[in-house]
Amino acid sequence: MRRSFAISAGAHALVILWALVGNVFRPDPPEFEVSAVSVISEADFAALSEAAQAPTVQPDIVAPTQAPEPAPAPTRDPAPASESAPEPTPIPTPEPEPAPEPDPAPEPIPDPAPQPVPEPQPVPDPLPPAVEEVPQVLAPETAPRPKPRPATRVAADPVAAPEPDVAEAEEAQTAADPETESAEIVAETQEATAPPETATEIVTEADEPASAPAASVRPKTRPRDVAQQPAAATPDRTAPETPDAPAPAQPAEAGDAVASAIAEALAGGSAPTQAATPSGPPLTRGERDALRVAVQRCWLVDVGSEAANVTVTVSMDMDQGGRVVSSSLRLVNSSGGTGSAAETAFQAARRAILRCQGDTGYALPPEKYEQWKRIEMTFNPDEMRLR
Amino acid sequence: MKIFSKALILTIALGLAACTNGDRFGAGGGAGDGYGAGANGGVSGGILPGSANDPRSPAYFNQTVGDRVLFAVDQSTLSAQAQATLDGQAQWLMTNNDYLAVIEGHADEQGTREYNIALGARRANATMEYLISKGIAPNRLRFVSYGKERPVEVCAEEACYAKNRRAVTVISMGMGS
Amino acid sequence: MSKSAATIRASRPASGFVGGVSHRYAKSDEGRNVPQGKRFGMKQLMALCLALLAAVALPAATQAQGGPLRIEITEGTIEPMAYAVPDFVAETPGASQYAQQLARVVADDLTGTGLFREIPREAHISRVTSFEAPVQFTDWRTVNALVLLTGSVAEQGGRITVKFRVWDVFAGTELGQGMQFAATADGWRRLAHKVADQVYMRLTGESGYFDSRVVFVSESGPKDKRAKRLAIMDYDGANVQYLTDSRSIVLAPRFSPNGDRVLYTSYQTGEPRVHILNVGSVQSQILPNASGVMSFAPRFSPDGSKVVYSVTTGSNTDIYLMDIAGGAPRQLTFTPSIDTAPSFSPDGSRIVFESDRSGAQQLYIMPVGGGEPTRISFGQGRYGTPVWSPRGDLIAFTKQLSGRFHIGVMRTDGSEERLLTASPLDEGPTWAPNGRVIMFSRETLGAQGTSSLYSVDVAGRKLTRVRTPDGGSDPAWGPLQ
Repeated sequence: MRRSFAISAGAHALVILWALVGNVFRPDPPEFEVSAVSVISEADFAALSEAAQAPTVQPDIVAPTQAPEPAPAPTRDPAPASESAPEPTPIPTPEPEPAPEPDPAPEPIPDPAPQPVPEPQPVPDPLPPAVEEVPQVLAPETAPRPKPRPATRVAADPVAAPEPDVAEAEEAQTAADPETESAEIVAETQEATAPPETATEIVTEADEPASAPAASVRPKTRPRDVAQQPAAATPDRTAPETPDAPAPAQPAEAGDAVASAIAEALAGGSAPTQAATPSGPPLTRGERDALRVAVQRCWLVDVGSEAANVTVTVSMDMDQGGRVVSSSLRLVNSSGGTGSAAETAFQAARRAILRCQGDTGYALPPEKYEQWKRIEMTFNPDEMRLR
Repeated sequence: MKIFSKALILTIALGLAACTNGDRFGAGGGAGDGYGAGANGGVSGGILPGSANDPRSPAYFNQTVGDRVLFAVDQSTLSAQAQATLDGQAQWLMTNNDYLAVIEGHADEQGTREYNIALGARRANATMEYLISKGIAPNRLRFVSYGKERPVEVCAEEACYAKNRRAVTVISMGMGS
Repeated sequence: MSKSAATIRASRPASGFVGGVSHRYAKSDEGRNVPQGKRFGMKQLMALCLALLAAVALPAATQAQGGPLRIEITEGTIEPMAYAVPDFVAETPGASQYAQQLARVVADDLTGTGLFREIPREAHISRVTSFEAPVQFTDWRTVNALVLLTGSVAEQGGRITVKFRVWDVFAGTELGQGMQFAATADGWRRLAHKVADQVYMRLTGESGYFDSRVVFVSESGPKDKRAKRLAIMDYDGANVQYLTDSRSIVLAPRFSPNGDRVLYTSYQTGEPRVHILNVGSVQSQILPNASGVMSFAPRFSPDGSKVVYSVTTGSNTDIYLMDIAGGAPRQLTFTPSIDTAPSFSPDGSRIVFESDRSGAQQLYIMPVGGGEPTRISFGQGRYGTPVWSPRGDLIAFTKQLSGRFHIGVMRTDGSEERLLTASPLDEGPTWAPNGRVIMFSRETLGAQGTSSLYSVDVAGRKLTRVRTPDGGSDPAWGPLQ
């Protein structure tokens, strides 16, 4: 009896303490993490070096350390040099960051290195290739190859550099435009703007005709998709009548044939019921595509990062105007990476969704609101990593 | 300790080498630099001891015999011309047997730093082994490689690179002298 | 011009859809039209049964509502993320000199990664005058900043204190939480690097590399009388300090894993010998017990207890491994070829090195315990100075091809080779502690030629010269501090 009372009292005290000391009633500017960074001064370092160099003979060559003024010892930061060891360290070991993420394990990443594509690029370089005096006997291809033009933006659709007098818009006025019926018809509605110059691949300094053959080109990953085909195709027989059914769930972990078959079957199997609901017909492929294209323009992928291994699924509620209810954005599922990589991938997805709705929201047919009032969007960077 | 004493000896030896030949890496001419007069041999009265005309002087070795041999790109084999120069060097070292020699191997800058050190060593070693095969006592010879650290020519043309791909025999007074 | 842009864009969705950019999406849509009556495998049958079972078991109501609309996005954009860094707010009069400098160093760090792009300050609509005031997100959305960094700095008694917050502009939320660093005033650059490292971590999920140092060879004088000495600097070229004088040639310094020691090659004794230098005391000595007269190309093992290096004997150069505490060196390679430039894998189990045993320089990997090396480079040209990435996934190297030099990366099995740079003379890559950036030396040719340090991100997008007071070569990146 007494024991349980003591436990209860102790627990209560802890909770109260936590509420007081901890960060339960979080004030508006959240708490700070405070960390001292100890730094040794240049003068200190010089003094150290000077002392250390003293025994060595100094010939006519200028002393290696500048500023031989002896730094007064008291000013030396005690933190790093307080050890009694005879050699004070000029590289202080500062307190680590207060919230150190566990160092991500050096896990190998399958596809971080994009490859120069050997075939002629869609954006030919008007500049002649740099003339080289080097004999090219060994190189199999001496013919100048159109060099991909470097651009800071790399996306699926190459965009030529805008002419100087055309204002560069952050985004082309395209699929997000309400008038746009489907993605097949994407027209520039504003003549005065052009999307930023975009290349289809990362162009490095070495991407020149002379060096191009050196790279061993890996085929694009078509075979992987082929491998998945049987699984995806199997249940199709169960739902032959609904060509325009909403896209069934994409299982986040690709590769599990049975799981994906179930998902497919579920989506397909429910199609007849769906058709009976009064929420308007399902979105056409073009309507869905317009949404997809609108979001992918704002989805920035850092191809070399661990986050580029993570596929995330984000759910959101939409209002009738096609705008995302910000507070409803949630990470539903992630696969392929550590916690911090998944968080980063989610942030990138969230930014894409929120940024590309612009002020007007996404162009979705209002009469079909029931179909899109909740959206689950999967961001899969697998194919981006090859770029 | 042993290493230290060895290092001390080496340092002294190198110091001596530096005394006899101040500008070791300088572009001092090879064979056929117009000092053909030295070829008439013998220490005649008109010849200044120690000058390039004195066949017993290091200057004669450097300028008349030729202190260096050149190599093809990424190669360490001795050409016929190089062998002829080394025959002359062997001759001189046989005659002046109180001298020691350090063979310095070099590479042009068209290569990575570490590889060029190893490549320079190959060149110097090939030179040293040739001299040994001509009868020079191995204990009078050693080699060191400078890789691409000490070019004598700095232009970016093959004419310069060719002169940098070299093995230079640097002579110094031995202990007995 | 805008017309052609429109044309290209208009053609895109069709090709993306049909051409397989989003394969699985397309499939799930169109696969439904596949006619019935194909062969019926056991596996499919089972899957079907399971699926039907699941369909019955699930409440039909949720399905009746249609569930969420599901969209898969497979095509993103590779583009630097736009961010804004207004000058930090000076909270004390003495701090005003740092307010702008701090923001500039942070911006240089972030922009230098190639992953981020700064919205120029002239474009800012909002002015941040108080660190605690609410952020006007709409103003920052208008200038297309995705991320906003706000900071403040205070100075008191020679110490400065920096606070900062990172904001996701479009989500209108703070990323992580506010943080504060303090240091003596002369360490303000390190404070800025620490802030930048934190921002980098919050935006990429990975650790940064800004608060790190690089040891390198400082070069001065003409090519044929080049004076070299060891120096240490911040990763961005600031705060250069010299570790040796220039009396003897020094080459290729390498940091120990924790940055307290440096291995390098010096001609102090007349021959190249591996030396070890204590960074704290600036005392150096010849590595004890290193066999052979000419030893060079040293590198630490990941735990700092061993050194791998090469030794020249006669015309032969082989790789040796020795315990730094002492003991006899162990020979690892035995061919009569040039085997040099060894580098450990981050787990310490393997060593990548270059060898000309095939006739020209190529890259090989061998187990640390010895054993037959495996050749991994098969492209044209010559491959040298391999360095294993700290993440373990890539190997950086120097490649010579047709009279040009490249810094490149390949996977550890030699696949996916990718050249990042091209110049008449690039060499000696070293990895940033997070494995995202490579620093190397670039020498210009000819009588006026000089050597400089450059850095390039591993995608090859951002090539930057690292500004040092004199020339520089042979950089080696130290750990994140």
